[in-house]
Amino acid sequence: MRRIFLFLLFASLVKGSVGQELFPNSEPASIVPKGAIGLRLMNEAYTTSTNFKSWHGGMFMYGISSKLMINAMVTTSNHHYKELPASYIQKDVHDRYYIAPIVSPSSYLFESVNVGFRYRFLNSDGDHRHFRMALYGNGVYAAQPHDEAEVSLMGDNKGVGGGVISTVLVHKLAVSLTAGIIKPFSYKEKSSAIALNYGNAYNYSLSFGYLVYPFKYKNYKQTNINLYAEFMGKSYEALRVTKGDDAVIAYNDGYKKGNYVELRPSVQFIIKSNLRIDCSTAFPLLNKSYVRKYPLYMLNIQYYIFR
Amino acid sequence: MKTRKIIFTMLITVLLSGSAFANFVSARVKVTGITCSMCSNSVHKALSSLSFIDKIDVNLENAEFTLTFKASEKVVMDLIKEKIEGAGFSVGEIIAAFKFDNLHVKKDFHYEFENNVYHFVNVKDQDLKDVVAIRFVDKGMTSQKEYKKYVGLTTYTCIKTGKSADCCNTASKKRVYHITL
Repeated sequence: MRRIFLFLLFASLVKGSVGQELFPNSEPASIVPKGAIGLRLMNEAYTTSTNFKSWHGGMFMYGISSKLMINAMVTTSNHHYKELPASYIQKDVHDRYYIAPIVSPSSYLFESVNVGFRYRFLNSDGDHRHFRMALYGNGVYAAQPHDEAEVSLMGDNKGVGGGVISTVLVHKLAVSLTAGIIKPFSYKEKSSAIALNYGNAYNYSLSFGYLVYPFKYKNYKQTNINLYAEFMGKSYEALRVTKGDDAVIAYNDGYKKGNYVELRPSVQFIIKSNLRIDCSTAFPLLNKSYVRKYPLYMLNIQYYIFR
Repeated sequence: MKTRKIIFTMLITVLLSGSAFANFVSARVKVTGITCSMCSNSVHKALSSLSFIDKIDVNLENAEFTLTFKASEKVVMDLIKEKIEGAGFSVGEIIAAFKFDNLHVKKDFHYEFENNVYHFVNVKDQDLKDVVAIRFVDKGMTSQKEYKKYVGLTTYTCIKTGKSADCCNTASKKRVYHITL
């Protein structure tokens, strides 16, 4: 699968098609057109040995000006419990607290509300080429516990984040580089005095995009097919769990600090120059994420409403 | 060659329509930064919201929009620029077909039309009649390189601001577009 994809990628590069920057798994430095509303449905699924896991998000985007856009997102998944199970912390024979394995939930929970912005601060347009840079920021409210060190602002954690995006299109090749920081807030349960103290995380990605069809643009009705390869990485600090003033021992690797890089190949269809359908999958390239199980499958659908 | 063909088509359209007054007939606008038909579509939708545009034809491969204007409405080039930039792109070139009603022009001649001023930069003494292709050389209406070239070809300072200054003998402060033939 991976070989076929890489072959297609290089084949299209040699053919010299036009680059595309509508990356399925990261955002370009370009923004939503002024006055336009963008609606996006996002879905991610994988299976564990016992469960089918999925995550769903609905995003609303609006272009305030040619440089500034805002976005709001709500998410749901069957990844979390509303609260930590009563059996979460146990005492061992030495009278020390430790974290007992929990059975993963199967029911869906409304997870989070995310609001954010993107500000394009640099723009240099040329004939079929451009270079753009943007700043982005997000704030997320999430009420449920996330019992893993790897944090995210896509529904798992409450917190803030931001970063910088550079997107370049040179000689028919679209490349985008994103670097960001995630500052999560702790999860605290009053009744049990348990606190999950997350560390910061750094996310980075390098995305490539190619147009494979049509060979020549003739009209808006032509379906566009784009191929993407995105390298997405994250590094995160350890999760410190406390009960009252006591530290809780975690044996699970998912509580330790870590870093990983995934390869996310995608195929994208753009129908009638507006309806965008992205089909992606993710494989670990360097280490792996403990939060999900590979391979991941993603399906995004996006539509613009022009007013 | 392609440009000439388009201008020729514009000319024919106008000759057939045969309006007696000076007015903008059509324009060919090249948009830069566009890489996909979805981007062109955003520009198209933004331009369609302008009431003075009657018809939009697009060449997706070159990101060129040919706009046909309504003879009865005032054409505002700044709004075209604004709409394109709002969609997230830039104007690479605007060549408009303008129907002149016998006008004598020369270098740095200021022509007042529909409450705006059109400053002819770097043109020879000549009479303009019927449809003539005019090219906008204001900042953001052509490439940065072309703009700089035309700044060097006039001693008038209005080219830097786009507003009438001491250099232009206008009664009140007006928008000054800079054009060439």
